[in-house]
Amino acid sequence: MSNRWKNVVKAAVFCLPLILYAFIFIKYEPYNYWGLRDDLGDTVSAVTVIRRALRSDCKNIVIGASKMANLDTDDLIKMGLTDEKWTNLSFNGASVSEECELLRYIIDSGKDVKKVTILTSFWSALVTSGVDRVKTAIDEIALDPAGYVFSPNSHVEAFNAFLNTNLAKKTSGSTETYKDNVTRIWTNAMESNKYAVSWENKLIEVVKYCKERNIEISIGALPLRQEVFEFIRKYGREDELHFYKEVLSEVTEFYDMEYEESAWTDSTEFIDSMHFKGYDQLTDENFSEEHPVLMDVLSVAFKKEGQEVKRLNHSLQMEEVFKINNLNLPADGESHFYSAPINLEPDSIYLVSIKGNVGDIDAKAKYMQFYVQHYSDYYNSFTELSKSDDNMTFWVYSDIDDNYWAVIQTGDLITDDYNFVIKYQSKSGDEEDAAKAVDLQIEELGIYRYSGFDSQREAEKTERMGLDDILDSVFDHGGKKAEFLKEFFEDESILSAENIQLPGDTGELQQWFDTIRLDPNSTYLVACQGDLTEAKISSETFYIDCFTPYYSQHYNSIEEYAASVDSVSFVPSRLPGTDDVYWMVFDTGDLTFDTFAFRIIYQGTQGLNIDWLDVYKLS
Amino acid sequence: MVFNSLPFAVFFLILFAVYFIAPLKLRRYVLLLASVVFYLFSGLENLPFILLALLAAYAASGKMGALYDKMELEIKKGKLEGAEKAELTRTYKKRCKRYLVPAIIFIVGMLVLSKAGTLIARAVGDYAENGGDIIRVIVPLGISYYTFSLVGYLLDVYWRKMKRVSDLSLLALGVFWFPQILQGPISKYSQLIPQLEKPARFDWDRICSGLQLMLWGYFKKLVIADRLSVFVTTMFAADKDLSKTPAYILAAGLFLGAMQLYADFSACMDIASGVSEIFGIKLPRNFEQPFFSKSVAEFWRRWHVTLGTWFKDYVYLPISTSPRLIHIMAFVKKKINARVGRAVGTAIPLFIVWLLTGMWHGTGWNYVLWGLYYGTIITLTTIFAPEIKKLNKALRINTETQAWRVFQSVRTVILFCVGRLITMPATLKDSGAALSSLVSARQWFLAKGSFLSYGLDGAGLAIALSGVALMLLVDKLQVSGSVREKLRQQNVVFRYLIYWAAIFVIIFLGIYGPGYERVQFTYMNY
Repeated sequence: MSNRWKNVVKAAVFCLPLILYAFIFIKYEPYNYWGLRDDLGDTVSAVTVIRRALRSDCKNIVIGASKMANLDTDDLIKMGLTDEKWTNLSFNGASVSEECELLRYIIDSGKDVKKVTILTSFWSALVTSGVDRVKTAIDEIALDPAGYVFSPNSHVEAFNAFLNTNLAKKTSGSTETYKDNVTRIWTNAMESNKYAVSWENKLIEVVKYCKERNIEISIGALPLRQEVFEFIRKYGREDELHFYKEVLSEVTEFYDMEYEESAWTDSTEFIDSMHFKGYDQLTDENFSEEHPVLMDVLSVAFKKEGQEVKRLNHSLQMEEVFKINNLNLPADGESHFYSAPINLEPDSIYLVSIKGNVGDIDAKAKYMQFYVQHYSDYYNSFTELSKSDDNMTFWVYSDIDDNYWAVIQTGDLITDDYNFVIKYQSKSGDEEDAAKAVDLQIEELGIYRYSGFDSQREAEKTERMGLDDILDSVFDHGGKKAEFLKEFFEDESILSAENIQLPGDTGELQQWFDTIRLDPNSTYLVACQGDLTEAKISSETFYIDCFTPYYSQHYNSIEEYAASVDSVSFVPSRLPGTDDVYWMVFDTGDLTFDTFAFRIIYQGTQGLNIDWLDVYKLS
Repeated sequence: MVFNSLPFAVFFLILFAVYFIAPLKLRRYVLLLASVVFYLFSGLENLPFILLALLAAYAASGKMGALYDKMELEIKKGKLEGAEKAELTRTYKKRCKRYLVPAIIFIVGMLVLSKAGTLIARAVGDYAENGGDIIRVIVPLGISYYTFSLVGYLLDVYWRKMKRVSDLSLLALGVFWFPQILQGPISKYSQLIPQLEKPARFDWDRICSGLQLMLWGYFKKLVIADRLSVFVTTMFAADKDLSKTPAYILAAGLFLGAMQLYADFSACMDIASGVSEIFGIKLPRNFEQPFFSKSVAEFWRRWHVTLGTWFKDYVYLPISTSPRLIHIMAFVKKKINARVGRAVGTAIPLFIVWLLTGMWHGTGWNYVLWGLYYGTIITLTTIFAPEIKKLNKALRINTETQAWRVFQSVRTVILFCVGRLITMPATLKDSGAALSSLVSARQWFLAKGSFLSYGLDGAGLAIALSGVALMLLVDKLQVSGSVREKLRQQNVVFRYLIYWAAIFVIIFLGIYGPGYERVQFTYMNY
C-alpha cells in the first residue's frame, strides 16, 4: 500500500469515533434541531418548537403546553380530522405568557399564519412560571445552529439521552401512586397559587393581535381528570374555573372541554391528572374506540365537521359597585374631569364596562384616562393598585354587547374609599389627532365586582394583616410619630435614628448608614418623616440598600435579598395630614449574613432632612 | 478572529484545503492572502498602521541593504583590508543609520502613540466621567508583536546579522503571518523568512504533529484557562473589596490566576505553533516549563521566551556593551570599588529592560511597579549571588537535593504570584487591599469564605484543578525530555486513545458556545 493510501486509512480510523459521535449527536440531540429525530422522548422544549416553526410554513398553528406537546400533527391528516397541515408549537411546561410570546414571534417573523388554536387549561391559570424560555431559546440557541453545535450543554444532553435510551436499566417508574401524585401536585397548585387576571389579559392581548392581522384564532380548555374537580371544589376555586372561560369566551371562539359533567373526565384516559394517553397510537385503526377522550379533544380542537361542541353557559356572579349614565365630555380641546366616589375592596376582580361613543379606547388612551383617585393628592390607575406581576389592562371590544370592557384586579389597598375619575382631553398639538376628535359620549359605564371568589377571600382576610392595619398602628392622623402597638411588632424598633441631614446643594452623593440585624424570610417596615419633597420625585434619587460590612466583598441591595421586590420603594402615607410621612415594607429572603448596614444614599439639589426614621420587624 | 472561534475553524479548514491544492509556487501567496484576510477580521482601521510599518521597514532595510551591497563592492574592488576596511564600514554604517533611526522612530512611534493614546483617552474619559468614549484610540491588533519583530529585523540588517528581504511580499508575509500576529511569538525574521520562502509539501507526520499541538492548546484554553478565568475575574473584579477576602482564598486565587495566565498564553502559543507547523513553519518556543524554574531570572528566561530574547538582544546587550555604560562602570570602580562598578553595570541594563518590559505589558503605574519589582529581584539576586552562595554553605544547605529544587520552584511560583498581585487587581489600591489581607493573621485563620463564591461550582473547580495538575504533570515530563517525542514512540492505539480522550474532554468539559462569554486570549491586546 502506498503512503498516500496508508495516510487515508489512518485518517479514516482516526475520524471513525468522531463520525460515530456525530451520528449519535444528531440522533440524540436534545431539541430535534434539524427535524431528524424520529422520537422526541418525553420532553419537547421551546427550542424544539421554534425550530419546528422555522421549518414549517405555520399556516395553521396549534399551541399549548405539555398536554399537547406530543401530538404529531401529520397524523391528524391520516386520521381524517383535517385536510390542512398544522404546526404544533406546544412545548412542555409552557406558560400562557410563553405561548403568547412564541405566537407573536412566529407572526412577527413573517410567516403567513391563517389560523391559530390555543389549547389551555385551568392548570395554566394557576401555575405560572417567571422563566421566559422562549426568549432564551430565541436569543441563544434556536437561531444559531453553530452556537448550538458548539455548546457543551448540547453535547452533554445528547449523551445523556443516548445513555438513557440505550444503556439505562428500565425501571418500573415512580413508586408514587396515581392518587398520591394528583394529591401532591394539585394540593400544591391550590395552596401556593392565587388566581391572577394577568394571564387572561395576555390571552386577550394575543387574540387582539391576531384579529388585527386577520388571523382566525380560537381557544380551547382541555379536559382534566375527574378527581381534579374534587380538589377544585375542596378549595372553593370553582368560580375561578368558570370565570376565565367566561371572560375568554367574550373575546373569541372558545371551546370548553374542562367541566366536570363531561364524559371527558374519564380517569382511564389519562396518564396522570391531566395528560392524555394514546399519542403514540393516533393512526391505529381502533384509536377512537381505545382513546375516546383524546379523539374527542382532537376533533374539537381541529373542528371536524359534525362534532358537537359544548359551549360554556355559566352566569357570573357580578355585583354592581358603580354606574354612570349619559356622560358627555365635549371635544373642545380643554381638559375635562368627571369624578364620583367609589368603594373598592382589596384582592378583588372587577369588570369595567363602557357603552357609548368612545371610539377606539386604546387609540385614545393618551387623551382619555380612567383613574381611581384617593383623596385629593394622589392619582392611581387601577393597575397601580394591582399586586399582579404585570399591570396590563386591556380594553376589549365585545361583539356581543357592542361595548368595551376590561378586567382588573386589585391588590393590597390602603383604603377602600376612592374617587372614580375620567379625564378627557380631545386635542393635542397634532393636527391629525385634532381632526379626529369627537365628543366623549358614554351612555353607560358600569363597574362590577366579581363576587364569586368571596368565600375564599374572606378566609384569607382573617389570616392577613392588611396595610391599613399596619398604617393605623404606625401613624396617627395628625401626622406625628405614633406609639407602635406591641401586638404588631415583635420588639421595639430594631433601628431608630433622628435628624438625618444629607446636604444636596453640592450635587455629590451623600450617604448615611447604621448597622442593622435582619432575619431571613421576614418582613420589615421602614417609616420616616421629613422633607423628602425632591427625593420622592424619583425612586432613583432616594433609595435604601443594605450591605454587610463584614466578609462580603460587594454591596447588596435589599432587593437582592428580598423574596418580594415589589414593595421596596418608599411611598407617601396618603393619610390626611401626613404629607411628610413615608413608609415602605420589604421582605428578606434567604440571607447569607445577619448583620448589615442600612444605608441611605442621596443625590439631589435640595437637602434631605429626615426628622426620624424607624425600622420595625413585623410579626 | 480568535483561535477559539467558529470563524477561525472555517478559515483554517479553507486555508488548509486551498494551500495544499495550490501549486507549490503559489503557496506562499496563498498564505499571504490568508494572513491579510485574517488581519482584516480585526477591523479595516488597523490595516494602515501595519502597512505603514511594513513599508517603512522595507524601505529602510532596502536602502541599508543597497548601501551595504555598494560597500561590499567597494571593498572587493579596492581589495580593502584592515583599517581601511574598518573605516569604510564605519562610514557606511553611519549612512545606514540615517535610514535606520527614522524608520525605528516611525515604527516604535506608532506603538508608543497607541499606548499613550490609551492612557490619555482613559484620563479624559475619567475626567469627563464618560468611560473614555470622548477619544477613540485605535490599538491595532498585534502592534507590539510586529513592531518588535520589525525593529529586530532592521537592527539585524543594520548589524549585518541578516540580509535585507528584497521581496516585499515575503517581508509582508513575515509581518502578517497570522498564527503569530495575535500573541506572538516575536519571531526573528532571520529564522522565519527562510521558512516562509520555502513552500511546504503535504507531509502526514508534520500535519499530525501540528494538529497534536493545536489539540493540546485547545485543551489548555477551553478546559483550564477559560474555566479558571471565571474564578479569577470574579475574585479580582473592580467592585470587590479584597481586604475582606479571606487570605487563603486570595492566595488560592493568585495561584489559580497564575495558572490561568500560563494555560491561556501557552495554549495560544501551542495553537499558533501547531498551525504554523502544518504549513511547514516552525515558530520559536515561547515557554519552557517556567513553573519548574529555580529562580526568578530563570523563570523569565523560560516564560515568554521570545520577548525576553528580544529585550536581551536588542536592549540588554547593546546597553551592557555600550561604551557609555563601560565608562560609568569604570568611573564607579575608580570612585568606590570594582564590585560596585560591576553592580552598576548589572543594575542599569536590567532596570531599563524591566522597566520597558513592564511598560510593554501595560500602561498603568502598576505595570511600572511590576517592572521595578522584577528588576529589583533579578538585580539583587545577580549582584548578591556570591553572598547567597556563601549563606547556603554556612547554613549547610545541600543545593543539589530534590527537596531544595522543589523549594526553589515553589519560591519562584510564590514570587511570580506576588508579582501578579500588582497587576491582577483593578487598581494599585486594590493590590494594597489584597496585600493587607494576605498579611493579616485574622484573614488567614478567622475569616470565613467559600471557594464556591467565585463563579465556579464544585465540579467546575474540580475540573479546573485536575486540568492544572495535568498541565503541570506534562510540563514536568517535558523537563526530562520531549513529551511529544515520547508519545510518538507509543503504538497507534494508545496515541489515538489519548487524542480521542482530549477531543471528547474538550467537547464535554470545554467552556465555549452560547451561554458562555468567549474569553479572549490574555496577551492579545499587547
